Amino acid sequence: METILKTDKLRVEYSGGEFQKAPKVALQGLNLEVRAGEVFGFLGPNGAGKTTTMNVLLGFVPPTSGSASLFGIDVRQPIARQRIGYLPELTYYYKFLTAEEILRFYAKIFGLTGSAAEKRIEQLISLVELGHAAKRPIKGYSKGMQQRVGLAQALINNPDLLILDEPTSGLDPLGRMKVREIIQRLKNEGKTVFFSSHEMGEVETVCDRVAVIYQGELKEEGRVADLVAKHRAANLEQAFLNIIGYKPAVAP
Amino acid sequence: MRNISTALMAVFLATLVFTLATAVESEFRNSNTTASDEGAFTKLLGDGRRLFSGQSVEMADVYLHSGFYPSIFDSREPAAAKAIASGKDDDHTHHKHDEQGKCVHEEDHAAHQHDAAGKCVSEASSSGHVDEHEKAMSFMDQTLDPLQGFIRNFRITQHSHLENGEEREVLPWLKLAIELDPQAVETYAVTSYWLRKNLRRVEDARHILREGIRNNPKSFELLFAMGIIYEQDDKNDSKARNIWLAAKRFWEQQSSEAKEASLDYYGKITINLARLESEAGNLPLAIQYFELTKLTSPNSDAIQKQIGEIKSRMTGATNAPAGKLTP
Amino acid sequence: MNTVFAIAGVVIKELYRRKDFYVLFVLSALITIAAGSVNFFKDMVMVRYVKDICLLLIWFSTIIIAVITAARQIPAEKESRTIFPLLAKPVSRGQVIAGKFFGCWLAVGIAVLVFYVFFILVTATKGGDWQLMAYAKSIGLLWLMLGMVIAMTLLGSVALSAVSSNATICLVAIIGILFLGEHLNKIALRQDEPVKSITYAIYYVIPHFEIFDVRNLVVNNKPMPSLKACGLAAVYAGAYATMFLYCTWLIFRRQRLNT
Repeated sequence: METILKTDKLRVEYSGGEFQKAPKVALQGLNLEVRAGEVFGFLGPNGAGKTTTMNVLLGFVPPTSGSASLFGIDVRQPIARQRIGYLPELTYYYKFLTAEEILRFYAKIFGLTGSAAEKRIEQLISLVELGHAAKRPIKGYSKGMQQRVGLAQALINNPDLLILDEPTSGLDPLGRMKVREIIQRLKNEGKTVFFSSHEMGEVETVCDRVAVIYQGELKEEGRVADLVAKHRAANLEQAFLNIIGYKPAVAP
Repeated sequence: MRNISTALMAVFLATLVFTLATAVESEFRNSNTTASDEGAFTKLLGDGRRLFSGQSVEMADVYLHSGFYPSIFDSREPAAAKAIASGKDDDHTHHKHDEQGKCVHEEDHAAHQHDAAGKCVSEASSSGHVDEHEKAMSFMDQTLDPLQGFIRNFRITQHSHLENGEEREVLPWLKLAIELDPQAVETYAVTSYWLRKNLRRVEDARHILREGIRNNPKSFELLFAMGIIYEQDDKNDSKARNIWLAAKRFWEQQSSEAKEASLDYYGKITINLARLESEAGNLPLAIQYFELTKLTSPNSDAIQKQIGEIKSRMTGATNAPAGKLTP
Repeated sequence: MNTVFAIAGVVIKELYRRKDFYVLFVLSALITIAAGSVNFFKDMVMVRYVKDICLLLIWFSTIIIAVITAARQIPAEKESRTIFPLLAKPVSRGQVIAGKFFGCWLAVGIAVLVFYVFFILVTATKGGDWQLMAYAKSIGLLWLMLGMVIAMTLLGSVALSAVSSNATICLVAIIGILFLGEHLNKIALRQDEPVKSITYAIYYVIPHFEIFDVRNLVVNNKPMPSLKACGLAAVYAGAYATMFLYCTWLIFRRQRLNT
């Protein structure tokens, strides 16, 4: 199967600042591969390096050493992002634009204009159930509505790879269910989904493979069932805790 | 309930504010007698308004030169550059000359010597101070570098003045200068000059001078200018004489330093009184005024010549009619 | 280019959905109408002072709009995190800068046109001439200058962290150059070395915004610069704007953007 996303000895360091001499290492030689058509979960505690990895993949932060590529194209090239969609954890969009205008703007960036663009926008608005608010400025939207706008803009170009950063963060159970449904639908369509999450339950449900990162290092990678079996855990959460070496202070 | 109390509080505060405003205002007016005379500019700007007044006059001067004007970085003598004129400049820095160089200015310039053709030949000759003015306005003659040469494509490079009625464009700035500094006597004089001479608006000129005299009752400069209007436009010699006498009186009441600084005005007042008296046939009085003029004029020879002419008229042809002074 | 124009379109929409432009326009209009309605002396048509005041307000307002709009662009995108969904698309940082520049420039150009239409109407009612070619050149030159201003402010916005400090520094620099720029050579001549050389160097290096200030010509009905001079001015403006934008790109492309 084609490798959609690949990192090779990816290292990211942040300078230590004026009074700290040693730079802070956010990622230490990360080697990751995501294949076409799979749903890949990227797990780790806060500060593990998940967001840094995504920042490098999206070109926000240049790697200190090593490389990363999307569809075989170095991530530093803008064209590498032609076939991807990205949903950030914190969704903020131009408050003075309406949902339709935002989608039209992003569609234009992908070269989608005219009736093709309008049709796609209509489909997406219907998909994320924003028909009643599409012509209102974003500044009046709730968090859930903004998240749905975010999902719609991530899908505007019918991407082959969807990168989601904590997609269900802050959503109510209904919202989380809808996101899971969309991920499942994309998987059925043969799309690749790469997402980070703290919700082990939903990762277990939708993911084909997962990778666990801790303190900038890749600890384990593999199929969910394999990891659970390997660590003789009851579920993915317990397996995760074993992988990162967490020992509870009080026995359950 | 909260909304009602908020609204009531807002109404209460508004009422309190307006009540205080009216009460304090009337108290302030009662205690400060000069407050009612002060305009908005005085209240807003205080003494700084005089600075803005000077700037307004400078703007008027810039307009008179159709925008061709040196900046503070160009070497220039401010007095020589200013065409809008100060009182010391005889109000005629830009008086006109015809093609033969003959002065076509008016009688307040009578002290200058003229040759038989009517051309100015005196020390303070018009061509003299025209040259000075041209020199001050020659700041664009030199180009220091190619960049400056390029910038000059976007600048006014021809020295010209407003004429044919367009001088009216300087009036808003002069009016503003007057509003900002009602004690700037020169501004009234200059405004009335342009209104009267170039724009033929005698009534407006008179109105401005009246306003100036109201704000500056002892201003001999403005009284003199008003006298010119009475004499030349109203043809009322008697009113002109009275007002020039008042001007002379106010001039004489000044301190010696102030007198020293405004000698030229005394000369103008006395020479015009001399001329009036001469035309009226009061030759001894005319001689008296000429003698006073001689004390202050740089052209004492010319004045002495005038005195000689009058004396010869007195002693010689006793039946000769009183006539105008020969130029 | 689609991307650049798409970003520019968003900038234009932002400017006209904020209140800044309308506040400045209304303020300028009120001041001009107040100045124009004063009756100094009956029956005398005086139009130059109205033109002068109105053009001064146009320059003041459009420079403020240009600086404030440009200063906000990239910092506001970073702060509001809207830059992340944008850069996650196949958009290079250079395209973002170009889009922001063209958006600000076009938006300010529209503002200049609107202000000038008002100016032309007011002066026509006061008895001024319809010097349409002169006005067109004046509009064009102002627009070119504002392009340089916007490019300079964009550079400041990636080099400095705070929007307010960038805007303040840029405004001070612009006003300083407008007042002193063309006189620096005269000031230099009066100095001793090395101040003389330094002043002369500054004189040559700074962007001479005052070149584009032809208000004096418009107010006094003087002939406008030739098309050749305007063309050279356009080249001058283009060169400086390009240089500022290039420097902006050099700084921005290396900046880390952490989500």
